[in-house]
Amino acid sequence: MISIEHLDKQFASVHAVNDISLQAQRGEIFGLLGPNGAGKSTTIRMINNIIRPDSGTILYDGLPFSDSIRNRIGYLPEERGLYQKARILETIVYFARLKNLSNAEARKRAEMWLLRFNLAGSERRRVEELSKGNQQKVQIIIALIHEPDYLILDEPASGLDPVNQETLRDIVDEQRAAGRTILYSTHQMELAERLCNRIALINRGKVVLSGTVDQVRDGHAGNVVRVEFQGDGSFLRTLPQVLDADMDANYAELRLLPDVSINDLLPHLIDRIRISKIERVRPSLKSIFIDTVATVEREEKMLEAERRPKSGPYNNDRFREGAR
Amino acid sequence: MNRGRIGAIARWEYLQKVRSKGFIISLLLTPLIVILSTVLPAYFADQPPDSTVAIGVIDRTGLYFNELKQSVEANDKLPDGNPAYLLANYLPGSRPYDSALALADRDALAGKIEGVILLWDSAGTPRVDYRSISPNNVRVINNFGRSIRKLITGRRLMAAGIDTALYSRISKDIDVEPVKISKSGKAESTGFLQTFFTAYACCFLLMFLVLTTGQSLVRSLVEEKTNRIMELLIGNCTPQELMWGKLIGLSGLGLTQMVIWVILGLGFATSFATQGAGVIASLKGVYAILPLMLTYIFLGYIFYAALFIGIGSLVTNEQEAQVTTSVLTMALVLPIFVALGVIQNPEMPYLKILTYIPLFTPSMMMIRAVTKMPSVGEIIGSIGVMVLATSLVVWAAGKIFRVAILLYGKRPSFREIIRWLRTE
Repeated sequence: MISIEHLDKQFASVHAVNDISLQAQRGEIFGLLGPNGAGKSTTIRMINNIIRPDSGTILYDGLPFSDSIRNRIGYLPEERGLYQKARILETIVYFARLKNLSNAEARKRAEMWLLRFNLAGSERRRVEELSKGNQQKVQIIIALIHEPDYLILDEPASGLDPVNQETLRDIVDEQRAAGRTILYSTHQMELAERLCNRIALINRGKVVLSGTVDQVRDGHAGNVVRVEFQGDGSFLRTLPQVLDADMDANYAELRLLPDVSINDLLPHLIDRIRISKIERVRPSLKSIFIDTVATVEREEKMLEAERRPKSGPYNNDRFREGAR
Repeated sequence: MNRGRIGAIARWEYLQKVRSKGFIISLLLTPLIVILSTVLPAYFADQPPDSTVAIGVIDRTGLYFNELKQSVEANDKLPDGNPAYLLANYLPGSRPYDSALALADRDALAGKIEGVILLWDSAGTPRVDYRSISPNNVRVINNFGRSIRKLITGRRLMAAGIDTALYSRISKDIDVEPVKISKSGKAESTGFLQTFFTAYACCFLLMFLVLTTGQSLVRSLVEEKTNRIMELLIGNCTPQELMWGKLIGLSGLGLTQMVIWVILGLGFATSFATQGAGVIASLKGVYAILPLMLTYIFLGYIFYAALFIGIGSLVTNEQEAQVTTSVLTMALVLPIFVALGVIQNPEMPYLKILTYIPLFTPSMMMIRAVTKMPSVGEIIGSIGVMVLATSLVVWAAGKIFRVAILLYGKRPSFREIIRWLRTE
């Protein structure tokens, strides 16, 4: 279990992490979601002890960070690369040695993993000879090879083709089943929805939403209808019954006014588009994500507009008040 | 710090670099260039010609041709017993001077003769010119110069009625043999060249050691930053472990290069008997002060390596890396030039001041130690300065390294660096 309490980190001009608390349990995949620059990577760097927090604590199964805990963390950074001239097997073995694995054991496990990722036979090839996707597989192997108790994956699937994304999903799920604590940071909401047990949505350095995926979706249930259709649906967002719309080419998620039913809505659609399906749904993580981030930004702008005459352009309080 | 990890990093850095093409090429190419540019031209200039060379002579004085021909053809022999030079008289009594000169020039241009020796008289003083397509042929000028000088001197002695044998006995050259007085009371003769060689060898040793290690340090840091390896590394070890691992591994690289060069150098020197003897003799001279030399090399090495680490970790791309290494290289090479003055006069006050500037201390002290051993106070003082400066640079480099390796895109301002130094 990784438990983070009141974590805080301020850089020269940015409050990167603002009082974040969260707990990732053993045997679960904890999704760390949020837009670019939300503070996810800073949080992850603090968990890896790469940078120190200004305040707050991070405990690993109740213990503070130490050298032996470093060896029990597997980390796949978002900014990642390998020595281009080095050979593949020796690269994996090097990083495994840094994790205190013996040479023989590191070799054995590396060969096993290369086989699993369809890279058997590439042991003696140089890293630069591999495609980007295959280099990424090597990096994933490096994160896993020492069987870490804590697995921290920052956008692990980006750059992988669908087949390898599935392989990665299977592996992450195996790791969860083996009782590891997994922190999974991503922008891919559909993936998070399918894979994660619990999530925390981070925006501007604060946790704005958290809980199990079901809890989060139920909490945002509201009056949402999903319409699948053919034709030009662009008028949907302008209907007076519709508060908000997440539009696609042939489906739309519509948030309706509280007392509007499907029956009330249908007459306005029936002549203008060809409806193949209409149902009441829970919102997807993606629409919750967009909705939450957009709301925070809207509120902030309003607050800032109100305040501008009185105080300076920059005020940290707006983060606290702007969040839900 | 975890020693296993430092060892793993050191091993990795060493093996990755020692097998790289760049290292192997510079390992072999550098000594080759040194040998090609210094030793070989001198060696070949000393070699006797392999076939007889024809030389024309225009003797306007009419006094020397026959004697010159006799002495040169009798004394300068090829290894197979044939004369090295054949002399042709271009000014027999029948031919006017102008056409003799024109003929000789024509023959020289056509390659029939190597050149023409022109003997003439200018207001009672004999003059000698050598005309040739390659008039700076050292061997010809030396050989003929010597023979002609002897002939002319002989004529003058005869004219003055002095016995030639007596003259050569009383005019024999007297060499001054430099003998260095040492504390042991044993006087040892020392050549200027040997002193020069020993001190310079030690300075160059330090310089190449620092250069090889420093350059690969900066280059490996740039690679890890631009390829985004750093984040992965720092997730696996502490910055201090990374710094020491790199320092140890790449020092090994510098030492490997050094050992191979020293072996090549000694092997080369001993295969050339005359120069080799000098080298071996000068090594004996250094033996007694070897511990002192090694102390300065060690301190100087750590000092410069830490400078490379501190400044190198701030670098974010290949161009900056090049600028950084060349500036530091200049700081390294400078004392070697300054040191020239030390050999001539170790007591100059400004040289004494330079001794206490840490950038120069090791080189200055090493050169002063072989020319005139500084007082015990100066030795202790300079080592003290070096230890202090080195500790300071190592401390600062560690602090800067810790933060700077995580900066990929932007270079920090001077103010930021000062702040890093202040943070705990």
